[in-house]
Amino acid sequence: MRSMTRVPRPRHPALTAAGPDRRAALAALIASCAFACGTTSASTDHACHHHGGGHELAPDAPSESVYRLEMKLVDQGGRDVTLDAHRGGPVVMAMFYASCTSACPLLIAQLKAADAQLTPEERARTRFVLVSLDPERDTPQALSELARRHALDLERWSLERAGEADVRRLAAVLGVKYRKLPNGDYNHSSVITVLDREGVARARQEGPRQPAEPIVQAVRAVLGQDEQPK
Amino acid sequence: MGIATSCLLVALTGAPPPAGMARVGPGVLESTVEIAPGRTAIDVAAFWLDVVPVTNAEFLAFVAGAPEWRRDRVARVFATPQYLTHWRGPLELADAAQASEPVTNVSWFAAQAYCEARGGRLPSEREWELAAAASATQQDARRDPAFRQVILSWYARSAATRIGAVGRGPANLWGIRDLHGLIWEWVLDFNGTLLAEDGRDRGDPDSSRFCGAAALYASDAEDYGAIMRYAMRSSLEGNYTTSRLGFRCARDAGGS
Repeated sequence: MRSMTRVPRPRHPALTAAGPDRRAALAALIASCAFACGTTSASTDHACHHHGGGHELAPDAPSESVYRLEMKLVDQGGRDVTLDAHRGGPVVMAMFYASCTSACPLLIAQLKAADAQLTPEERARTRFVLVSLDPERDTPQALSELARRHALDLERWSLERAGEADVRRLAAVLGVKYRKLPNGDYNHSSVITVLDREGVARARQEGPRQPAEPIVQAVRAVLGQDEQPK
Repeated sequence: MGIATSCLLVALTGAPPPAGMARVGPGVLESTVEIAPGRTAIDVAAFWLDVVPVTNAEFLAFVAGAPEWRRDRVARVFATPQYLTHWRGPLELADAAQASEPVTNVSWFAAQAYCEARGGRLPSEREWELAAAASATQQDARRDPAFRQVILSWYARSAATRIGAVGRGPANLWGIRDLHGLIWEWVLDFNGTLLAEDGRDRGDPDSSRFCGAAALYASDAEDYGAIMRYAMRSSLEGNYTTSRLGFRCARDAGGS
């Protein structure tokens, strides 16, 4: 995993599947991207345009990158995904649990408010990743149901679950505090993190009922970095 | 003794202890902080726990075989620049005495990686506190003024003194040493200690920083030692490293 092929942002969620044969999955990704870039090379296809076609070897993610965490997750469609599946563009990441009735709906509302403030172009290049703290109850079905209830655009939003040890690690990286309560619910801090294209946290917001503007500005700053000539 | 008898004995007493570990629990931890509003009693299943904290020599052997945990290669997201700075080099201790002293300046990520490499994990906060509540003679000695005084006198001691070798402290009822008096220790769920800045949010979960029930509140304000530990843990981040913070490993014991 140390030397990973840099792949551009997949054009649809099915392409994020890592599968049992990682090499085959990567090959499929590269092939599909070559197709995508090849046929739209003169277009404004941001997904490929800014990442050089995806054929060069990427160095390790930076030392401060959340993507140094090598963990496997499963999304609301039951597909295997990796944490760095959206490497290459801004990612707004948060942790939650589906059956939470107090702060989590506020958290999702806050993310949706930020999403709504983005322009269509910005929106097309930004991903929202919500990782569950509750691997026991948050099955893909439960996550899928939550996505439907909140009318989340699953082309750009991903609800994911991981094993208990990986959840603990991700929470530690993101600075999310949580504790399972005797009744099976969770006590947790509400934290939204904006990751840049390499997975380095560029903004962090803690607490429910926060304004969406800082999230939007951080996403724009990351997209602005993308615009700069290399 | 026949094979059948041996098997029966193992079945009755559980597997033999992993090297360097002793069995702790099962027990009920009367937690110093509330785990839910009004609730303090926590059932803790039996588990194996290292008798002494992990030493510099042991951690050095681990790092030698896991280069991603060398201080010159570790990712910043997993350890701050102070990580293992008390060693002379990335694979060299500062002096011979350090070998038997507990390793400190280690992050939670590094500690958990070490324990996983040994087939274990860090102990949970409740496991650690259950083990640490015992004196040499009592399973829960926390209301014993003499026991409390020993702990507090260590907390009051100057940090300038050298840490000292592991294993010199007396064994407690479970056979565990050095839970008090040597270093602070990481726990698996260090990021599960939710302490409110003050008590005003109590009973109003929506106004707090936390989802679900309100944050934790001390149920035994006399147990200063435990309160200091909970407060310390609540201030930690996973990549933090300090000169008095080390760890020991645990394993599930299975059964009860």
